[in-house]
Amino acid sequence: MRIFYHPILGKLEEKRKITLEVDGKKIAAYEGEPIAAALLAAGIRVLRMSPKREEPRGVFCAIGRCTDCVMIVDGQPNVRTCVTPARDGMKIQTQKGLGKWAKKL
Amino acid sequence: MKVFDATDVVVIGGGAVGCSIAYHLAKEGIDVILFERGNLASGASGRCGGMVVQLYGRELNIDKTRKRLNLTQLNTHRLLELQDKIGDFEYKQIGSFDIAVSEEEWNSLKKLVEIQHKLGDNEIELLDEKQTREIMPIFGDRTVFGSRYRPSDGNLNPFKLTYLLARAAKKHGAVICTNNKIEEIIEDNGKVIGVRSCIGKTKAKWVVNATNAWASQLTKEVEIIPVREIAMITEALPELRSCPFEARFEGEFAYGTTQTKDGNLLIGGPGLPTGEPGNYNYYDEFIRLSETKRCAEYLCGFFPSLRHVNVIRSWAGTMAFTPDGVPFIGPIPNKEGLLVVAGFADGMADAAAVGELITEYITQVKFISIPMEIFDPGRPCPKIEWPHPYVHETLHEFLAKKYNNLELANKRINQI
Repeated sequence: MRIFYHPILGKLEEKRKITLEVDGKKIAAYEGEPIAAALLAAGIRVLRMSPKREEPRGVFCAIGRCTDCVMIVDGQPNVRTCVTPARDGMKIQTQKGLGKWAKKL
Repeated sequence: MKVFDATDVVVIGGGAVGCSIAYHLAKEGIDVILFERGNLASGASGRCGGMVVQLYGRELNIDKTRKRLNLTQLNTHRLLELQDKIGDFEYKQIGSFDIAVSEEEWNSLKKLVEIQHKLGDNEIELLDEKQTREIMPIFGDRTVFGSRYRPSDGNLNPFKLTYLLARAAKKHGAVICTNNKIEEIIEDNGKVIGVRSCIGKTKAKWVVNATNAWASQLTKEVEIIPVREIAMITEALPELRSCPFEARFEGEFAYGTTQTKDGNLLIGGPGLPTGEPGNYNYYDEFIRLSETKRCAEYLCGFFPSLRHVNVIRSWAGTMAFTPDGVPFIGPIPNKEGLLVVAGFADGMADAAAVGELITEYITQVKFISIPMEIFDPGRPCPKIEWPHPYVHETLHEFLAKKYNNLELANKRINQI
């Protein structure tokens, strides 16, 4: 769900439509909006599983401080999706625990 | 406040060593009050990497290997026992490295290990390049010639160690008083009778100065060389195999990393003192971005894959050496009742054993076999020549040589 008209902020600015790949599924997004916003708009609320108890976690602070919304973006874990702008063709994965690094450490 | 009027022992300093002393004394039924200027572990204990390296350094005082190993080997055993007694402080024996990055270093390392074996330090191993890379696979293409490896070294969580020791001490009846700076150690006719702090006087039969880098400020008799170092921590990473290591880049500086239980990589390096030549500040707790960058850059040269890893915090802290590299543990001559415990470059490798040593001295009951005389603060303490640019005068000369010009060196010091 998206708010196209906000009583204070006004009309939603029109941006280029792009596609993101989330766990293999394609979703629509607007270029430059936070990844987390696009995911929420697509109905995806679980962004990662916690390392110890493997519980679902999602957006919490939404300003880049709490790191509860971190996901694996283009092979790099621990990316804060609430402050990372979406770009066309990004590959996003739900992060399980500390995540898997695409690059060898 | 009646509690603070009089006690048997006053311990000054709430780091791992101070808390260990308080714990061991309280366990023997002695009245202890521990005073800490800030919070527990707010000095070097809370700013260090938590590496338990039993023998650091290279050429410097290799002849004192046995002395230092006496203490640190005992400490390693005691840490394992303590972990069962007071709670889990994440102590793991995962080994530690000292890496040679040039042929010259490799040759000197080979000689050192030979000497160490002769001195009876059989545990130290010499690993060639292949073996080093096998145990520590995160190396990049940078040339590595080999390393010195001690399997029983490891790391722990210094906050947990300090707080668990303090908690155990309290359980045995010790009083822990934080945010209370000791202004002065009160003496009367060559005898220590107590301390003065902002809450008033506290009478004591014994005063233990366990303030490490700040020890000479309260006890003028000991000479401590403060060393400012910086550290940073990365985001949590999957387990990287065996990480505690120390290496010197550009021939002079020692850098190190270690991985915490949660996966964060702790990176440390030298932070030179701030201020003007002749008036350096070794206790500057502010860290400059340029310092963090310099340290991270050096280590990324070693481990290129770390370039993609985010650093989440960085800080500076002060540790200390003694002029001859062996810590001061024991009574100050001609000052009855005053004990000094200072000069640890790696307090985690000494904390548990030092607590026992001091308790032994105060209770006069021997239960460990190390003679305390070798750590006597009153010993003749000739200044050894540090290969590090750590000592006040040599630091400046070192930079001057490195940048070929004194003016530039001054500038460089002010930049960082």
